[in-house]
Amino acid sequence: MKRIFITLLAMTGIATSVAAQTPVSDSLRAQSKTQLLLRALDEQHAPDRRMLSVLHINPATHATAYTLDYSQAGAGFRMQRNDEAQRLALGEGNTFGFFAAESFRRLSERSSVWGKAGYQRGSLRNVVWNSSADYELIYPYVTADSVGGNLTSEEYTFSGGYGHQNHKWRWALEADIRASHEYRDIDPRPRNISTMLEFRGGATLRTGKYEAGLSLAAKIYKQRGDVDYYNPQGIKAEYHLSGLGAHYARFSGSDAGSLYRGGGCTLAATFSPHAGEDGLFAVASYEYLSIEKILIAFNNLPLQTVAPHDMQATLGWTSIRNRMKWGVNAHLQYTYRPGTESIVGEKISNIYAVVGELKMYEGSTLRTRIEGFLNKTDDRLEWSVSPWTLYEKMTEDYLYPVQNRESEQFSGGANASLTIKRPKMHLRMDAGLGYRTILSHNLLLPVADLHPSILRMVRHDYRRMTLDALLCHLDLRTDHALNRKLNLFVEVGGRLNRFSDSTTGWGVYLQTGITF
Amino acid sequence: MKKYLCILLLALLSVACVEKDTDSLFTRLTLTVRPPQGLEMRRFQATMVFENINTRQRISTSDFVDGQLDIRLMKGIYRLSINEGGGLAYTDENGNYRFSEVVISNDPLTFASDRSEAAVDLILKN
Repeated sequence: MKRIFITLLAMTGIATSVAAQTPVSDSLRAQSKTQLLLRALDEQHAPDRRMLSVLHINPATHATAYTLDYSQAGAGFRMQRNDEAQRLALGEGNTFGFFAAESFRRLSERSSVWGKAGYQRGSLRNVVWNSSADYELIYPYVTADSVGGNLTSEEYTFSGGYGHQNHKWRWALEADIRASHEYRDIDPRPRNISTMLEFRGGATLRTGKYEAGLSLAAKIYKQRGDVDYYNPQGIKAEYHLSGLGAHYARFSGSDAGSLYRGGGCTLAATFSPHAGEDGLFAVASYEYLSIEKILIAFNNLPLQTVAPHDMQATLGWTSIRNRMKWGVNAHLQYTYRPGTESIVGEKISNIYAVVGELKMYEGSTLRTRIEGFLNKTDDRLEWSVSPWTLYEKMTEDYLYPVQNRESEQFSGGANASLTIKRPKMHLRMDAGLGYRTILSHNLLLPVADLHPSILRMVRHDYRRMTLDALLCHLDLRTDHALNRKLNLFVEVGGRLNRFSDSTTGWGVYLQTGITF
Repeated sequence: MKKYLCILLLALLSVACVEKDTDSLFTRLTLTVRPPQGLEMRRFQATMVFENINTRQRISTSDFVDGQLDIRLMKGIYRLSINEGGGLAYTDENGNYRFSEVVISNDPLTFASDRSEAAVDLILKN
């Protein structure tokens, strides 16, 4: 995997250096390279571009997202800690060192390339009730035990795209790959290797000021995992969780080798002003994914399948008047997450026949977010304010014996940013304050039917998800021009969440690198 | 634009409002107990235990009427057993009225369709 990653990284470097040698328009060439780099940075962070980044689900829209070339490579670390885990399965915090590079280059007036590459390595603290990787993707069909512990984790990511346009049409192709490796060196010893591969293709048609587009994406996912015990005296059962407090009891035990495999597709439609112009924009998308859990130790028995459907719609407006910009958007997301379990027959000649399937789990999330921004910029100063509200309703049901968990929450807040611009330096400050309140919640568990330790896990997670919280963050970034072709940046940030039971969660990060 | 938004909202609401279809999880089982050949069943009085071998959930019932039981069970593979003390009152080939405790085979039975029928043979305990 490392070899592939290094090869891909080298290819990115070659692609971007070739692109860098290609002349851009004469008007841009005439300007100072130093100023161009800082201007490109402003463009990357501009609130209107960020709001419109929802359109990048269609790679053809991504192809004209920026007018200036921009590349960044940096390394850093980040750390998160919680007094109590929000979900036991996600742990109490993490520490990661990382390297990340990204680039957007216009090869000519008609074509552009972009890409990202990243590597991170670190540890996840005190992860309990989760011996699998990619918890949120495969949930609820997680392999789990009550012992847990710290996990070592490393992840490689790489993505790249190419877009081309003629008078009215624009098309683009994009590919993403993510590979991760998680393991623990003391009992219980899970080891999980997962890969996600995604291909996207899209096109847009320009009609006047606006353009309409369609895109299609395909995803392939695979995770291979196992849990070992080196000390035969201390073996604990691994459970195949089925949602809330349920688990597939027949196959609990020490043979926990499993394979998750699946795939899906995304269809999206976009409508937006042509690049650089303001006006109405809209996105609608539908994503389907199906991931099957297979027990390797039981002759590749297909045990459980989760098949989420995700529907999203965004409607917004941006306005650019001289040096003043504003924008609003409303985002609606509904995710329906059904899970089915196999009815497994008797073992005959080492073969387990699947005689039927039952849809035992249903989860759904409805999320509505409304946000806006007001931004003013001049040669020496830029400021923005961005108020936001979020309503979220989550429901989970295990159908028999009946279990139910629900919560309904409302959050609101505002972010503000200030950028001080000097000829060879930019200093950007971002700060945000928000509050989350729980409107209603409910937990229904058939206590007598559930394993007591799994029950404690469900109750813990429920208690944490029904706490009000004060949310705040502060980020600082400074960019210095070293010469005409190179900037140095340093970025630091922190966030603090204070919950209504007086516990806190905090995180910090530091990154430094170059832009060119 | 308004029309498309309405259609999208209606589609989302229709998905959100779907009732949970729990009926498809269950089978309506008619189970008949059969006495050993040559014996005439007079009364069957026992508690039968259904253990789902996948979930390990156990359900017990003694609602037999004339050796027949109608029960709603979650679809699955079940191992059936009769609790200690359950028995069969019968008349033998000579017309004598007798009572004997019974057991049944522990081979699992599959109930995976909406309606299921099964018959189990009773074995007299010595």
